[in-house]
Amino acid sequence: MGCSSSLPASNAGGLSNINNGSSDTDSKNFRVKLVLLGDSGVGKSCIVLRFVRGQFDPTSKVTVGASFLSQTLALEDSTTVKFEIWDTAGQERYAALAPLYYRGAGAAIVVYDITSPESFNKAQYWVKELQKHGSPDMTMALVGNKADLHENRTVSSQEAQEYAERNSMFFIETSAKTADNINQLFEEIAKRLPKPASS
Amino acid sequence: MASRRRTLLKVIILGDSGVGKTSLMNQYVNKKFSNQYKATIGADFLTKEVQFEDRLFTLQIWDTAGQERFQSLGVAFYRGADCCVLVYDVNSMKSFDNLNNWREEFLIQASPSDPDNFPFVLLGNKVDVDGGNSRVVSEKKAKAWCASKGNIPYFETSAKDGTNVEDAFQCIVKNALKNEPEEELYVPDTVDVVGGNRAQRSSGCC
Amino acid sequence: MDPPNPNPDGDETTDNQAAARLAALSLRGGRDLPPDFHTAEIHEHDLDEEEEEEEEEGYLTAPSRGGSSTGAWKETFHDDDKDGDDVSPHSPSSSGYAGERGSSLDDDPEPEPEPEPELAQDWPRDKKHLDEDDASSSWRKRKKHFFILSNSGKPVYSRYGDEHKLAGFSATLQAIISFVENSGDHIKFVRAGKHQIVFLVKGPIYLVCISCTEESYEGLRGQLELMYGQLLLILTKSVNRCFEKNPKFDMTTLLGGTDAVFLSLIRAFSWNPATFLHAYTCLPLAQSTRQAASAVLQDIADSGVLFALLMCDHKVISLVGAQKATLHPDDILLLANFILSSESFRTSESFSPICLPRYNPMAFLYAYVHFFDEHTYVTLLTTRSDAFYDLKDSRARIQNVLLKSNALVEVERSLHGSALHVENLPTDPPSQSASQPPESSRDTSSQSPSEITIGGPAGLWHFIYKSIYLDQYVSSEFPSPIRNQKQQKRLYKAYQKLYASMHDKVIGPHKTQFRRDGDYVLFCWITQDFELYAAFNPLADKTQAIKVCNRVCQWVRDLENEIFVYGESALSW
Repeated sequence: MGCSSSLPASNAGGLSNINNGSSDTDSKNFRVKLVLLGDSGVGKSCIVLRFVRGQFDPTSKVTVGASFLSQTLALEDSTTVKFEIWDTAGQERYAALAPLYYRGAGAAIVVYDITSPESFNKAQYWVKELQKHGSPDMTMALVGNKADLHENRTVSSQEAQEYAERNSMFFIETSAKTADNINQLFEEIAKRLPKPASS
Repeated sequence: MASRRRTLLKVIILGDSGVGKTSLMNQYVNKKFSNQYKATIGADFLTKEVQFEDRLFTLQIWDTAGQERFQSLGVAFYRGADCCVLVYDVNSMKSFDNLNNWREEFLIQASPSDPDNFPFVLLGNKVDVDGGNSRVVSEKKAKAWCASKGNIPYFETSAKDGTNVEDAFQCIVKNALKNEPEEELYVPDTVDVVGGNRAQRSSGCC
Repeated sequence: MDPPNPNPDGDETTDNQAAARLAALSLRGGRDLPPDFHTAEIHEHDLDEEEEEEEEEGYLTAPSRGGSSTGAWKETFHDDDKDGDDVSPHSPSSSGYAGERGSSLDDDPEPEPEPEPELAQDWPRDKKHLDEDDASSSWRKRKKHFFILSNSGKPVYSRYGDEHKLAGFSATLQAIISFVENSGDHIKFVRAGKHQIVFLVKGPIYLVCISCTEESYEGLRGQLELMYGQLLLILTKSVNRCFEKNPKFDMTTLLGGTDAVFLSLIRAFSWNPATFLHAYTCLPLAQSTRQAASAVLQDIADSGVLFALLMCDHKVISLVGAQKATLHPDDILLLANFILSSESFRTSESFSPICLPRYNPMAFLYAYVHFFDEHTYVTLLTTRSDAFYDLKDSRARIQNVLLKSNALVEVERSLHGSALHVENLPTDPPSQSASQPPESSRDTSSQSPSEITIGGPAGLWHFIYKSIYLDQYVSSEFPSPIRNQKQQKRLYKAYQKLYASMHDKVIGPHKTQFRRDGDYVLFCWITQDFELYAAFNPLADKTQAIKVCNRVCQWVRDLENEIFVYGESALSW
């Protein structure tokens, strides 16, 4: 998003204190801009809605442009992380405008569908794009969604795991439908975020 | 799950009248069709779905009216063609000699970005006629012509018994694919006046 | 075939006769007529020859509307017609008539053969009939097809059937266009039996409508223009560059996931008057409520937002634009259609590239969209790609004001009841009551109460009033005779025809038109300031109808502060 008066630290590419350190509890309350990227139909919105609202709607609703949602996650070390989530549209017509949404993001989730090799190719495109143009210290996750459809699997978890390791991402398979691994995904991202040195 | 995206290929069939273009299409598409439009607008149109290397293709086949006399169908007709299939009758030297005209006509009208590498396929049809006794164009001659035009793939077909028809069309898909341009990002213009409009805003930025 | 014109009188009416009758009328009820009506020329058109039976979209072979009940209805019509075009107030003597007609329409036994009940809730994919192609008889029987294709003949969109399966058909359409182009000409339309094929060439993009709905060429062409506008809203004209770079370019991938948007627009052609009036409509609201909303929107527009729109479904609550920026009604229509047909906007707030084709077809703007409730949403359009957080703050401010002023509750209330009902048409226009001449007591509504049992006075069923200056229209609610969707669609089709003939460049434009057929009496009146379209029951008396139309205009003027967006927002344009 570039810079904005209402989000002073959004260009930092990492965590920021919610109230800019105006009180000492704030060193434990962070917020981070997170972007979801991936082919259309892989279930990005479903992952977000499962995480933010605990809902799953099987009818596919095509995202237009990008939707913004936020959700705060409390971690075991009693810190909280507020995710400001950009759920982007997977359609080709918006691909060139993706920087609008991932610019300044501290975390990215690149999603593919384990039953679609094409979507895995597309995921790799997005990983490259983020490596080229995203914040250098961005925490990146590779997510194989629709794990509940494992009988139709065409992308092996081993292949994805290896790809993720080569690109210093962490890898997880999720099912927005069954809620499998959805919270784990966001918890893992929260843990891996580079914490700003507390003042 | 199979590929969700399908590719559409516009395939133009050219050649003298009587070489059997329509019979070939009937054989291939497996659907009898009448020459509904040929006389009035210059072609008939067929749709065929093909699977190739896990990908799904739809062939949009333009079966043109081959004229004895060369007749231009116009630029708009050939626009955006992905492949051009030239057909001649192995029993007719004239239909073979005219291949140059058809190829030229296509290249002039369609004006593809890379004419030297535009995917053509040549079909020598009616190899079944008279047990091959009335044949006047040898396979060697045809292949030599293909070689001189940048190695155009060549198939000898029989619309009657279906020889090589399926293979020829698989090759058409393969060739069209080879020529497929890199998928380009859609880069639309935006009215982005970040910076330009700042002064007017009540809340400052950065 | 249609019965012969049951109402031959009026057809021979010359303009002079009409003018004379009008003069007589104005003598009697002069105050009812706005000054410009006196000078208006009366054109009567014999449009009764036209087919009355407009079949609904769906199957051509579907049992056509108008079974026994309509037959009976026509019977009554014939009988009644003996009265002829008597100028004296018309009051149907048969008191049972209204009930009879009402009931016959109510339990219209007409089977609903439509394989596709046109309901907004329907999941669009079910509607597309992907199994169909041009070889399917069901596909061939569909009454209205829309196609988008590229100038190489590659299919881009089809209302029915799978685009790829229709590749051959799409090629045929392109070949027809290019065949005509080769002779140095351009094809506009083809008539083939009951079918009309309308072509619209927009650079490398071709749009085609094939219909047997008897809509006018201009009407269908206008619909294709809107389809193209919708495409530009999604993609901008930058898409033309793709074709310049690569003539083989296949546009379908760029339109991924937008079937529902086009389908919803196509449906709007049959229910939303904005699609042919090129005007928008407002949600009726108390002036103070709208002012509160407008004030906060104006404030936000002043801080660098190009357009700020507060809408309830397809109706505008308030809209403001930055200085010198004007929003075309078609852009409002296409924007609302896009937002309302894309489910994701309702899920959460969003920030999306959107192009307003009438404002600037070349480039994307950014739209911040947020739904306050199921129906009410704000759209903030900006040129700044980094404006999201500012707009999010602006939305919070708007929300605050709306909550404080109780506007959302009033919007909800208006949505469920404060619309215009023809039954409520005042008999005594308040603005004239001061010096009301005694003649006005001759109003039929007071004389023959039987007539107002359905609809408004003089058999008024429905009206649409478009303010030319404001680019806004207001329409009344549907009364019981046109309660169901099918009847409403039929009426809109009749209005569209009326609109097309009124705006016909060859034989028009006209100022008034009075048209009687088996379904309605339609009256249209166009002045410099407004266009009025009114539908009366088929037995309505012309003189009375004209009087009632005057009252409608007065009524609309009396209510203008509630039914139109006025004020500072308009002034700032």
